[in-house]
Amino acid sequence: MIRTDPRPALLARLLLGLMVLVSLAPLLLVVINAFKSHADIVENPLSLPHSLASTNFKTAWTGGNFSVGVINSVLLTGTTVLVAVVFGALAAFPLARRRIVIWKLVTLYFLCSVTVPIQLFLFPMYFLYARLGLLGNVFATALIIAAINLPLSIMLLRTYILTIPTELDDAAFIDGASPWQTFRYVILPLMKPGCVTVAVIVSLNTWNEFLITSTFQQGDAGFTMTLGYHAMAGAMSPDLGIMMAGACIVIVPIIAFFLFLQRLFIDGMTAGTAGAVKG
Amino acid sequence: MATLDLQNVEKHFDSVRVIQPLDLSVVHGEFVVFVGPSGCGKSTLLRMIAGLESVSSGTIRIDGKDVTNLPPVDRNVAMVFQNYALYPHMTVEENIDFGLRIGGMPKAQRREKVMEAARILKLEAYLARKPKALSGGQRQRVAIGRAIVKKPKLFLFDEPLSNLDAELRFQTRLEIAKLHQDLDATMIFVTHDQVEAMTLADRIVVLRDGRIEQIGTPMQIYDDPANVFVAGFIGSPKMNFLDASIAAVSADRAWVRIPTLAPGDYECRTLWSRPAVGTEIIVGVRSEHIDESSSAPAVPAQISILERLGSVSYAYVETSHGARLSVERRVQRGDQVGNIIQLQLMPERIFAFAKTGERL
Repeated sequence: MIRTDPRPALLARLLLGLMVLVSLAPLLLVVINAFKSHADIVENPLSLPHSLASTNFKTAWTGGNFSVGVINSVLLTGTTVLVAVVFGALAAFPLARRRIVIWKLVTLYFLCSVTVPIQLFLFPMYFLYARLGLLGNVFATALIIAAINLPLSIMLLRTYILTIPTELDDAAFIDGASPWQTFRYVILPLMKPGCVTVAVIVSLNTWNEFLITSTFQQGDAGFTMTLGYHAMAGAMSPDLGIMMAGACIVIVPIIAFFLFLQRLFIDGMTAGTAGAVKG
Repeated sequence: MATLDLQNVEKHFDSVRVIQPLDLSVVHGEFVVFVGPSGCGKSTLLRMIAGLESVSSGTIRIDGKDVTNLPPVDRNVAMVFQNYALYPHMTVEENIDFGLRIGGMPKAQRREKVMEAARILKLEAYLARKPKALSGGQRQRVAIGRAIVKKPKLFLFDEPLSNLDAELRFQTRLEIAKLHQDLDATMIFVTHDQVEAMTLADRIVVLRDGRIEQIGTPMQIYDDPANVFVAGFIGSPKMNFLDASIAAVSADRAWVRIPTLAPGDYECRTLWSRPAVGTEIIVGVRSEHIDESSSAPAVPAQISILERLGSVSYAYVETSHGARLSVERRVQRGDQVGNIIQLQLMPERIFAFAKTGERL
């Protein structure tokens, strides 16, 4: 039997544990302090709360107008994810499968749209939306955020499709499937993990989005969770307990969503198409 | 009836010509095997017949109908891929059913056809399984099932056995041969394995660099190769090739001088033409056509390597003049490395080739 030195593995675990702690500590601090009064936090931010009273959460919920914000955020995120995944997948399929002579140019175009700062488009877009009467419309705002996320979505999904053997397309073609049927019945089901990955990334981006939403979702009725929190910060900034509770309310849904999709997300990052071909 | 006719069919990718203009006719019920080394264009040619690859020029006809520019489904062909290409998210049943479903066949009729295909291929017990829960052989049977369920005019197989282990390859080969008999179907089969080609084919098409080198029955190809390439490619171990020259010629035979064997001339009775005396040639002789004999002009040779396969052994020998030959040994169980044996070439089995490779 070969005896290996256990020290490197132990050191690695120790380091990983430390990194987890460093990542989670701020979150933990937010949760702990959400149950404390402002005075208690100022006195000792690291102390444990005396009770698990929900007073701070109730005040934050009303102060941040979160009952409106949560609906808007869900609608905004849902629409953005839907548009980014559907159009991303539809664009990625031909980009992955057709021989496109100007592929390098297309890539460059996508890269440009990722790197050029959005602020450049903000004001023309604002005036356009104002003229069309679309300000405060979550679905219209979702289109802008989806457009910003689309290049990355297309690139990720295209890379994912490239891992699916082209023989499957050939087999479907031989079976009489049109390109659309090949996409719908063969490629799309196999892309599911890739689509989930894109959905998670886009939903995180959208949920936490501030610049676009603060520009286009004006007025109390248009507030998202982040905008509500921002407004609350202005009005209630002296009370740190309420601020912490508000932060919890904003992040809990997205963490729950991520945990729900975590398994599929990791599958998406690592999946191949086992069983499709030889094995 | 399903016939296939290729007329002047050619394919090039940009400036690279992968299929030279070629003609081929396949009659109904024939099992034709395309064989050749990697990169010879055999799979490209098959994909062109399938409609997966466009044709640069020429005409492809199935049953007399020009299908050159038709998609696969309108050619009524089915194809079995090297790596099976099963849809991994569908069950075996859904995989076999997919083509029929796309074709818009009513469900009850589809079910009946799928069950029939499953019965033929003994897949009934696996219909609800996904491909990843099947063995390699079962996956290949599903791929074949997907082909036969459509009752195509033409079956196309693209190296379907190359991912299977030796035992399974042998079994599946028999199954394909039986399927061919049972279905009375026209089949085209691509392989780089000459054993598959020899055992399955009614006719073999030997390809090299996108060109047909020879078309014929397995035994025609084996017994009467058209050039050095075909002679060397078909047959295991490879045919022995030796530099020689024509010493004398008569009406139907020639005498060849092979300096690396032994002094004396060897009779060659397989001529296709009458080469001039003195022509430098290549002589080809298979290992089983070298006998042990001490009658002149016998060649003494020393065994340097011995491969024992049970029923037969192959001795790799070297003559005193430097020729290296492989020799089949059936009865000589007492062979040992280092032994000197006396060899004789069978005159009716010596082939003469020009230096450029063509048969003389």
